[in-house]
Amino acid sequence: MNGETMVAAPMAPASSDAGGAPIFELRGVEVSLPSGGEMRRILDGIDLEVQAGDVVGVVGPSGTGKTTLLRVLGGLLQPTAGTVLLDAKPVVEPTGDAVTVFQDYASALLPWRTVERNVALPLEGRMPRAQRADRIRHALEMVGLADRAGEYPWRLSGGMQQRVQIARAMVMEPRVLLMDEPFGALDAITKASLQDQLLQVRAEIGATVVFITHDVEEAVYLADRVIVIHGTPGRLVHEVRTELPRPRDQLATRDLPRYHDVRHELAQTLRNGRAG
Amino acid sequence: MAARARRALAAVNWLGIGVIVAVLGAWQLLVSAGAIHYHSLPGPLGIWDGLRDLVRIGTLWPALRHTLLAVAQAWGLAVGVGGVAGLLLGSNRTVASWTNATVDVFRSLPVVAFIPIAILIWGPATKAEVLVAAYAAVWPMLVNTAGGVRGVAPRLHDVARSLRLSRTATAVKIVMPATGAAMMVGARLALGTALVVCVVAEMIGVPLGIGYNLVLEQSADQPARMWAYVLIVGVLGILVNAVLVRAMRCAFPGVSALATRAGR
Repeated sequence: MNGETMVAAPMAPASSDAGGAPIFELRGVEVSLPSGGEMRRILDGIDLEVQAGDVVGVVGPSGTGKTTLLRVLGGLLQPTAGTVLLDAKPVVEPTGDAVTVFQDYASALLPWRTVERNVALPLEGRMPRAQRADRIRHALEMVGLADRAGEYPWRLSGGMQQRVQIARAMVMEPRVLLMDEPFGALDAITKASLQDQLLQVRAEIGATVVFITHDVEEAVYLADRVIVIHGTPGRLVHEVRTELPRPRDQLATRDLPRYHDVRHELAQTLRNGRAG
Repeated sequence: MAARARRALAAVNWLGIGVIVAVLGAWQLLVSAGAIHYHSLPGPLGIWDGLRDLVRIGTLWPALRHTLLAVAQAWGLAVGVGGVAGLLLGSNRTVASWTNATVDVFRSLPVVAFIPIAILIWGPATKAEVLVAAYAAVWPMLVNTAGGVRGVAPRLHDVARSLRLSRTATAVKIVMPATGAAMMVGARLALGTALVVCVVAEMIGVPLGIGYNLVLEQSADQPARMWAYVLIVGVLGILVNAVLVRAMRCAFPGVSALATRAGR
């Protein structure tokens, strides 16, 4: 591909033009799940490559299998057909390399544990206490919650709780953060500040991020690439490289003509269910 | 220290206590005025005298001690067995489908009917009392625990898998604490049940403890002392429950904080 903006034809592998081996490689992924006694196909013919270090946004109407795709990437769900490779190795279960951050932070955090002990959860029994404490402190500092370490999560605001969940994923030092509508349940102001914090943290640790959103603007603002899933079963119908400069800025970036072009293109794709 | 005392005072439900005092006062007034005049129902002051009699002649403490020990043993057994069985039943669908019907049948049998059988088997001794009470108390523990395990949010299993917790770690760090609130409810119900069944067992056949002495005073036509025992059983129920709640709060601060939040 040539740095032009668009498009992979629906069935062709949606790849990026950055060099090197992809961190994720999906070939012909199909997922069927039991629903009311029969198998219902959720995803069909998904071909996708994700380059290391990219921020990839996944948009699409609800019920098109976005969450299912993320569960497949995270190893929480096995595809019915096709292959999923993470670093050229088949994904058969969750690895520490790709950790999922869930939308419903309230039920994903352990309410009987303090913030600090929630973040400690994936490290317990895996490293010496001192090293663990270091990592936890660092992760909490990155999300700006170092001073709330001793609180119970349900005493924090929604935005803070989601930051706790992000910190908990980050202490594992994953190569990929998978986020399922991470800011979907938050108000606009909190959302904007968390978006910036996420970008900052990502720049610091250099992780790859794959996130789902149904907010097209959020997808454009955060991502290097936005892919569109559409239909029942869900298919990958379009992808756009945003080609917006980093670091992003809530005002400046959103004023760029390119930002509006990408947003327009995506909105149109979502409306028509196909590119163009 | 002063602040702690003030907080403790603020936590007391003065209105609730006021109602109790008012009821006792009205009762005493009606008895003193002769409005209530039954040999079988003395006033609060008469019952207080009966209680002092019991302390003086030395029957109260041994009775109390026996009943408390029996309740503690029965409760310990019930919580242990019911907790483990509940975790199993809740987490393993096969075990649950094999045993659900059995559990429901045994749970529905009136436990009091087992007391004569238990006495026939083990004789009129503490062992019979403890085992029957444990049998009765095991069900609330088991059913609550199993329900709690089944009620663990599926999301938490996703979290456990995504963070790559082992099976053991998932059980100990996620399933058990998430079930904790339900287990605590089960443990408290089990305690109440154990107390009731112990007292009944003592009334029916085991010649020791509060229940036995209560019946004894009844046959000796000593209503004041009998009432003293009745009130003791009531106060005992409140006290053991309060002690248990406090102990749980110390042992599992996170889960208890959660239970408190749910209660609000």
